[in-house]
Amino acid sequence: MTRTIDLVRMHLEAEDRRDVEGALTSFSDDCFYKMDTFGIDLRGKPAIADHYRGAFAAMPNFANDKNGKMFDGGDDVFRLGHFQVTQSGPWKDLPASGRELKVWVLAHFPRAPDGQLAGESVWFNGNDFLYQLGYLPSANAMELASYIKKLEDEIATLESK
Amino acid sequence: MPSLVELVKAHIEAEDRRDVQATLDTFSDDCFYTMHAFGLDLRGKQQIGDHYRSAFEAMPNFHNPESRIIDAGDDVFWMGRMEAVQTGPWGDLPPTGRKVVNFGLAHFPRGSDGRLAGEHTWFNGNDFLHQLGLLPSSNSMELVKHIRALESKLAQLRAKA
Repeated sequence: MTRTIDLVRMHLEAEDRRDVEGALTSFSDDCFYKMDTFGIDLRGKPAIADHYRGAFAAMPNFANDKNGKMFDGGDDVFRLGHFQVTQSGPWKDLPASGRELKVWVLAHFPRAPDGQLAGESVWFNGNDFLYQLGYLPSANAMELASYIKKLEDEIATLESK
Repeated sequence: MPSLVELVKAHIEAEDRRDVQATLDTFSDDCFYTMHAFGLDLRGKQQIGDHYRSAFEAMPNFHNPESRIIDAGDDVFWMGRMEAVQTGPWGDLPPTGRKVVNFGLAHFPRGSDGRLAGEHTWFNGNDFLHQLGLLPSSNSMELVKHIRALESKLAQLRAKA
């Protein structure tokens, strides 16, 4: 049986080629893909393939960090590295920004009972991602809360006049 | 010297007791603590101790009711759930009296002295603040839409004023 860490390597190499089918080959049939910061919680290869196709079209220079680090926990593998891309096309509700971004990403790949990867949970600061693309005024969630409160207070003041 | 996994267990148990000193005892002297979602990048036991003290004062029932530890050699990963009620102010946040339940991941690398070099925490900071009623969504992309709507409304009100 292929080791979990080798399945992860195959998955990442396919991502670097923007090869959707190749990226899903190492996943179990009832796989998952999570990116909580963007509310993404996908189940099954068709939904995950759609996600990859959309991401690769919007960020055609998508590639994993060559200096990234793998952590082998046996049935759980973690990959830490920078994610650096240019968003040259629209992605989800975001218009093309033409901007480059670079964020730290930690991905967790657990092994499924069938020996394949059960899926991937992707952890990063989504606010930082959108801040670098010019869509949010800060990467810091607390600063965003303060900014929204300031806007709401000013609106309330103007509406009360 | 305890193993890295034993140090992480001791660290989590100390957090559950809100015992700042015991939490720090598992760290090397030149330790770090990062919480990128909230812009935290702390160095040394003084800064990290201050962070823990203020967090435990603001959330005096802070605990980690669900824990899973994954041993990856010189790196240990913790996955689990933290729960707390924010009864006091924390940083710029006023006391909300609300409960927060947050799923997250922590990465503990080995320090040069055999203890924990520090802790990188990964979680959705928007979700944390959303549960406290301080952000309108846990999803970064939805925050973009919300802020744009507020900015647009404010611009209209300013034009009328």
